[in-house]
Amino acid sequence: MKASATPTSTTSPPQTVAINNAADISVILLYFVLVIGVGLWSMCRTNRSTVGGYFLAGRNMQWYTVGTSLFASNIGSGHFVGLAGTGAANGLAVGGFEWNALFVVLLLGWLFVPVYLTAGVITMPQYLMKRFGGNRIRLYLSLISLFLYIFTKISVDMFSGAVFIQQALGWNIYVAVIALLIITCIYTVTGGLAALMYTDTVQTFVIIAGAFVLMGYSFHEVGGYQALFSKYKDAVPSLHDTLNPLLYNISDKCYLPRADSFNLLRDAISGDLPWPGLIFGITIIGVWFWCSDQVIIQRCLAAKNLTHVKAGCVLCGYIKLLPMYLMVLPGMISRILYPNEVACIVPEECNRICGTPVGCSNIAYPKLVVALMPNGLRGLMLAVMLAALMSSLASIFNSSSTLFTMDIWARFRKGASNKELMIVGRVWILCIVAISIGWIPVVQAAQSGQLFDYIQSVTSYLAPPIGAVVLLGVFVKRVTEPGAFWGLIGGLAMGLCRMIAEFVYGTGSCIFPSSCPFVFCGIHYLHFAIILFSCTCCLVLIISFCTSPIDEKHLHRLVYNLRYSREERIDLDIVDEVKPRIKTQEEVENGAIDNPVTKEPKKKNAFLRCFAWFCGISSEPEPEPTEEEKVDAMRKMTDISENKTWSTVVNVNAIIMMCVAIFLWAFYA
Amino acid sequence: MFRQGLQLCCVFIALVSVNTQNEQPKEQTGRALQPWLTGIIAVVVFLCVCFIGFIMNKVWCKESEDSNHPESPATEVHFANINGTQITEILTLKDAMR
Repeated sequence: MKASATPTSTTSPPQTVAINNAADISVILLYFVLVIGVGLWSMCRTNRSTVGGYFLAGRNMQWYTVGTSLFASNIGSGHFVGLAGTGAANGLAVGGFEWNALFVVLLLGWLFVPVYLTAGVITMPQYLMKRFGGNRIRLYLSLISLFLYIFTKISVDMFSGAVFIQQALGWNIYVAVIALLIITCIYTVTGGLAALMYTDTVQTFVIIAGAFVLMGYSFHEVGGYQALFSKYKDAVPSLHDTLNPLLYNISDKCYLPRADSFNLLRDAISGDLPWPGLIFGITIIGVWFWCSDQVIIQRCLAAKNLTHVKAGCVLCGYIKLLPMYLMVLPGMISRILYPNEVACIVPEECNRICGTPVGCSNIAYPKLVVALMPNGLRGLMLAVMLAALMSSLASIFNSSSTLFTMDIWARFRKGASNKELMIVGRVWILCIVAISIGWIPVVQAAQSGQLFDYIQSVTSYLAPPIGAVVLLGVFVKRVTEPGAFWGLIGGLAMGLCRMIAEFVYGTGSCIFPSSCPFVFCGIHYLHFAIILFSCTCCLVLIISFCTSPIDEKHLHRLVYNLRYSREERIDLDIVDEVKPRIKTQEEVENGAIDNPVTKEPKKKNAFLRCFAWFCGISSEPEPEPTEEEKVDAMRKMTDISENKTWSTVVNVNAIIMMCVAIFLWAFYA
Repeated sequence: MFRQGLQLCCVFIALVSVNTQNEQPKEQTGRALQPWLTGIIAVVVFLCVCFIGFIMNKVWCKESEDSNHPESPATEVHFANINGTQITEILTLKDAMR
């Protein structure tokens, strides 16, 4: 029974349970069976006791797996809710965030991944430690990445998933969050990187298919592509007079659609997404997100060889063309169809509709799903949202637990066993989940209720220094450790000034502007990202030139110019200190043989063994690879030579993709 | 005075011609260029830039062809010694990540 699609009256009650029929529920169950099935199959497939299984999910991912996994890790439910919401409120320009990534993802594949591959590293902090030496940069990066994950990825994804469930099922938002987390935890704790990457492929298909279906329905409902552009200007809520004139007044510009709603490139001063920020600011953030973030790098490093990485990046770029049509335009359609709810402006009214007085644009996408889709397909869309949410959350949990155990815990607890590290990793996941839940109310209220703006602004205050240091580290040999470290600290200080000021004063909304002084909050956050990036670069370069340079023998295969060099490299991270050696299981057990009575193998009961297998903890000593096998595997991993023909094919494809991207940018500019 | 009159005339003619020129495109499309035309122009410009970059790369690579030369087989053995501890770390890291 399709709900009425005409604009409802202002007194319509919030939609309660929409998912209560057989078709919807069976679709959702089928989806879960499919995903968990693929996960279990991939768990059994990567044989953990061979040498191949030791390195990064077996290092035999094909390009399409890499490409779809990159996309699935990037797109979370935050994108559905955030892109559609900001599209409903401000028009097309927010799609520029996605279309900018097309170019950055090519930078990743062609410039950065060759260096990471040939360096022989697995995590970003590890790369920086080899490149600069010393410990503090690695520690700083791990801490800041964890911080950013919690406050920009995890809490946002959870919030948007919960908004969706709240609109679809009518549950309280915190109950919805907890339900989501239980499902994701099961998914993360049992699977590993291989499981994540295989299921990402499945989930990308589900996401794209479901979103296409919804896009079809929405365009049909609004009357076509041209109708969207002509009707958007009239999508005005009927309630736009203040209910309390003594307290506030609602000016016209707060509820009327912007005049430049259909332009990607907007005025540099008065636009909400100014064009210098959209072109340069987002590229800078993109350098952090795509080229120096653990989640993305991990997927690239798991590919078969460099050509597969590049092809995967091109594929990811093509798929990134879609969010504009799948999320932003439907968001605008949602505003056209339900202006009184999506574009509500009176605070009391907004509070009644979606629980927060600043604005309800975040419900744009869920509203479409609940109102437009027929039975069965509605369940599919819920499955799509859960797919997007789980793939992002699971990969972030996995990567952040890796970061925490290897870079922070292992550093302070030298001599920890494998098993201890894995348990610590899983406990850490529970901790960050708890913190993220606590941060949700802040997410709800920030940036006048526009979720995507919140993500991008917090990222713009914290990410540019990291992007700057990684960029300079890869391309400029002269950069030294003190330069990099003090650049990071200086950048962090600048970013924190702005971020703390904004959170203390509040970002305000159109009706109640924030009282933040201009010097802190006046500059648009994307312009601030550009300024922060330049300042950090200057700082890094100045301090680097004042300190003694790193000798080239430490830099072979760590910088772009030396990526093909075959000379011997003396690693800075060995020379500096005694690295914490992680004891193998044997050593731990050998160390405990003080009482020879316990020499016979302990009989584990069946339950414990089951539990251990399920959680991926193996307690039998696994066969260590021989020295020869290690060398061979190492050489294969750091090999960045490419087959000439395939390399040319991929390069041509990349140029074609860039042409398509440039055409679309110019078309909508 | 005759010269001033001539200058005024010139200015007047220039103003009129500029006005009529401005009116013409506005009548046709409502903006300077059709969107798809803007797109195609941007793509063509980009391809030209790519082509120029490609040619420059070829020329530059030809000049520095001598400086790149690959392996001495002796160095490959060193991989194990130098990166020995890294391998241990990588192996255990893989376990932790599973």
